[in-house]
Amino acid sequence: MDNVLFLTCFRVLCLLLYCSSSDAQHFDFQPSFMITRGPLVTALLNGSISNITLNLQSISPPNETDSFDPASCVPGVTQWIMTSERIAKNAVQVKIYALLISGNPLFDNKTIIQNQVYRPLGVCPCDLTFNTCDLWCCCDEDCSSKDLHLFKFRCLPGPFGGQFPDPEYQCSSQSTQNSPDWYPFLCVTSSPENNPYLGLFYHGNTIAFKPGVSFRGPVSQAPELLNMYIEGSPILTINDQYFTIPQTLNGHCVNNAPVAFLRDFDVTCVTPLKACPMESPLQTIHEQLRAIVKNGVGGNAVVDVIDKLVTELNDFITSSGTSDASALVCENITLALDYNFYWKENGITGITLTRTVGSVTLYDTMRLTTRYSAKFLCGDILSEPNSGNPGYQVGRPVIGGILNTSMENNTASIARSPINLWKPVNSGLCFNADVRPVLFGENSTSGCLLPVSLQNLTECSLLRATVSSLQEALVEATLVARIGRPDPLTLADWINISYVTLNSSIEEDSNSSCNDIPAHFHIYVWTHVTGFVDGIPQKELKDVQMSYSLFSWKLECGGGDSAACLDPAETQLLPITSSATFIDIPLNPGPPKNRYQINFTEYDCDRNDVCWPELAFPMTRFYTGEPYSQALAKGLILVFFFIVASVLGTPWRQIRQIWISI
Amino acid sequence: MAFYDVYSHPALVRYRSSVCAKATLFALICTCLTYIPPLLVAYRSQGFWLKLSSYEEQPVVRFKYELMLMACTSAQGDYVGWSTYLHYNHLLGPRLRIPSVTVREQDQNQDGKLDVLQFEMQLPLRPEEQIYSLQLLLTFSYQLFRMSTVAMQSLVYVHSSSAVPGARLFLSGDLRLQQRAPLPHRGLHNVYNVSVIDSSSPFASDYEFGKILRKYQQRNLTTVLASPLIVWTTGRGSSAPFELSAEIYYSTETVSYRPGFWETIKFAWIQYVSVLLIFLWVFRRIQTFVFEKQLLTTVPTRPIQHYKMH
Repeated sequence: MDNVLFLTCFRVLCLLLYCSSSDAQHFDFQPSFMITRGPLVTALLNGSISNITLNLQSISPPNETDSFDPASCVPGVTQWIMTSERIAKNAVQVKIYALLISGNPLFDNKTIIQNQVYRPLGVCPCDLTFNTCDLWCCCDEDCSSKDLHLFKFRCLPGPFGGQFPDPEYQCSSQSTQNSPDWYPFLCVTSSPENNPYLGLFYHGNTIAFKPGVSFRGPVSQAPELLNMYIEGSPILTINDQYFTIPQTLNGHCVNNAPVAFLRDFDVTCVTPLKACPMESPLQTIHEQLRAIVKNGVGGNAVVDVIDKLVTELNDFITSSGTSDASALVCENITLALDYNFYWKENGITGITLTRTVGSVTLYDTMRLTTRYSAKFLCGDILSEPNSGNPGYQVGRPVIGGILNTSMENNTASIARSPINLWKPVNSGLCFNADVRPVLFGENSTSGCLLPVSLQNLTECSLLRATVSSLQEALVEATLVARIGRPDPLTLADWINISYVTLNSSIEEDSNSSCNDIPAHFHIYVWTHVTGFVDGIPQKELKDVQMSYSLFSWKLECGGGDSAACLDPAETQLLPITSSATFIDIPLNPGPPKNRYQINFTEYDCDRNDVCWPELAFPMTRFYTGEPYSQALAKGLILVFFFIVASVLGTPWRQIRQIWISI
Repeated sequence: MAFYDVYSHPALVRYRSSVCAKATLFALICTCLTYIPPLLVAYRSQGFWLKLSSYEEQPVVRFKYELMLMACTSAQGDYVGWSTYLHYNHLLGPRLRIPSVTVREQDQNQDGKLDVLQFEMQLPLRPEEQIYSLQLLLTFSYQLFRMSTVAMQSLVYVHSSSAVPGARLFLSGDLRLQQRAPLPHRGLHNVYNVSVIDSSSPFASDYEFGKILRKYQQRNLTTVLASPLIVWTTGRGSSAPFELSAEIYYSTETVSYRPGFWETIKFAWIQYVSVLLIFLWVFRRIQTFVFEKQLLTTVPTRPIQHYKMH
């Protein structure tokens, strides 16, 4: 059946049909009372009828606000049309049409869209524009034959171009040359209107619109207000704004970056300087830096500012221009801001800021390096940071110590002393090299360069003493903490450092070379796992050994560069290095394996793909495709099938025969 | 008249024996030697149990319309940037430069899955600014359905730099899945369905490209733009914007997975039965020979033969 789209609105009407007759005869309407939802009402008038007139008497609209024209059967004037038709001798069919115009004249011209399953909506889907020839649309009736000729060979193919090809199973469609093998026997004769492409554009149900992802406008986010600070939450000022310290983002300075609780940072920012800066962060006002910050436990903490003036600006300036006498000098530039946050539990107990200022002479092309750091220190200002609790944590410094025995109390206390390696700076020379601590679990190496001349090589003992004193300055400690949180009063928490000096060589020193120079300093640290806390293995130090490797130094003067060996003052750079190695002792090493045991891999599934423990692979722990319980259950189902197979097969018959005969 | 075999059918001969006899022992040994050695032979010749397999699928990929951009505008390291994250834009301060971005995802073969992302961006520049390098981060939502259902958020990082200032950058590549471990064969795998960049964090360190990529690379399942073709064109007009156009293809992936229990058993069964047939045939011949020639004492029961008496 066709779905007809009605575009006027229907209201329930109550009609009262009144009929008057010139003759006083008995007749009635069938049905006598009717409620309709449509514009058409049909009623039958039974009885012997002749010369009747029909009138519409009263109409009651359902709503008070609606109104109808008074009932009248005069056509053309009112909304009502009534027709009567004699259908039998005793019956007259009366039809009343209501033309309900809802005031929108456009609805009158609406076309009825038929069901797309049976009749395509547009025979020409590519005819998109009205009264204009669409390109490549050969079925478009707006196209003249001249237009068609232009793109005749480039018509849009298929149903989209209005060409509904005959299906290949249609008997009338195949030509004899291209027909497939089954063609004469299995082709179908059907009318061309019955085409599988009917309904191609009919989808029936409407699909609810799902808004896709796209660019959204910015969503403003106010800072989350928490009463107390937890690790990673931003620090807030009393105005509920983020407390900001300049930091770097992808290598560039950002001035308004918030600070996270318990996250330390130490960054340097490079800014090219063309004029004297007037604004923060390079020019800061003391009062502005004394910000009031919420301390997380309901109160406030004020930033305590300490100023530090520097005159040595090598760390802060890189300039490639020449100094000019009339160059501008910028006063009071903030070169570094070092914040120390003292915290306890979920709150901040104090904040100190060390502001480093200096005067900078403005060169031609100058880049200013500024440093910003924040450190969160627990509790006491004087307490030293630990490296783990109880075992060492990877990446924390190894703690060394020096024993102090005090005579009067007869107690021994251990003062902390770092264990360092070389940290070269600038050009890597030893005289201005820095030191850095050895970090637990991280093997590292570094070194510095010592200028040595021919004259130095003639005084070998002096050279040896110089190098020894340089290397010994790295580690002054005699003890190393065994655990990450050593007690300075408990000697059991510390172990002695053992020193190994390698044998000196037999050769004598000569005028141009020196032997037994302790040029390489090596620290071996043995660690082992001593316990578990929450499933995490805790590592401790078992032994620490420090050794000096002895080298013989002589100047290189091969090839054409003989100046080094001739001129006693000419220097060459010779390396002095230091390194640290961490060796982990496994828990249960077991006895050492012989060669047969190493090659026998029948039971070792890591080294043999066809090891015996994996014979029943899906039912072992090696199989990870499904949870073990599920794999085991499925394996048992398989075993059940095998048992059933044997029950129904030959072995059961044999067993039954034996059983019966016993 | 010539004679030939019109028809034949086997007649069953049963050999009976008591339970405690040599024949029973022999039959038991033969049964063991028939059923157990094929398993050992098939297992020790490698590849008995299927431990890894693969399948092909075109993933359902959608661009999430979140991106981060940073471009260096001078040889001294000045930069401009933009992103769809409010906090990052706020941190950039005066370095923020809003580009004009157009994105289109197309389903070229009309199979319901998007096939290509076409991304165009125009970054406005002052006449004295020149682009020397560009870093772009795009986020996608990636889904696989055929075996296990995988839903994850992934990203693509593009970095291009040049010693000469550029006017246009074209890049084209395939979005490829990187697996460190095989996927399961069924179930929901949405461990990585969390956003790669935390957009609610106000801290500068959470928007560092290095930190984002380090956290992303810790995942076992990631996507990467495989071998992108990058064309850097120079010659920008004085007031022309910098144009970036990118095409990222969502191509068919070969995904490796751990086969399930029944798949493993099925392939093992095929191998086992094919070797078992040989052993069955061999031992059937041996047993027929032994019992027929009465090498072990048994009582044969011949079938009753009916002869038609003429």
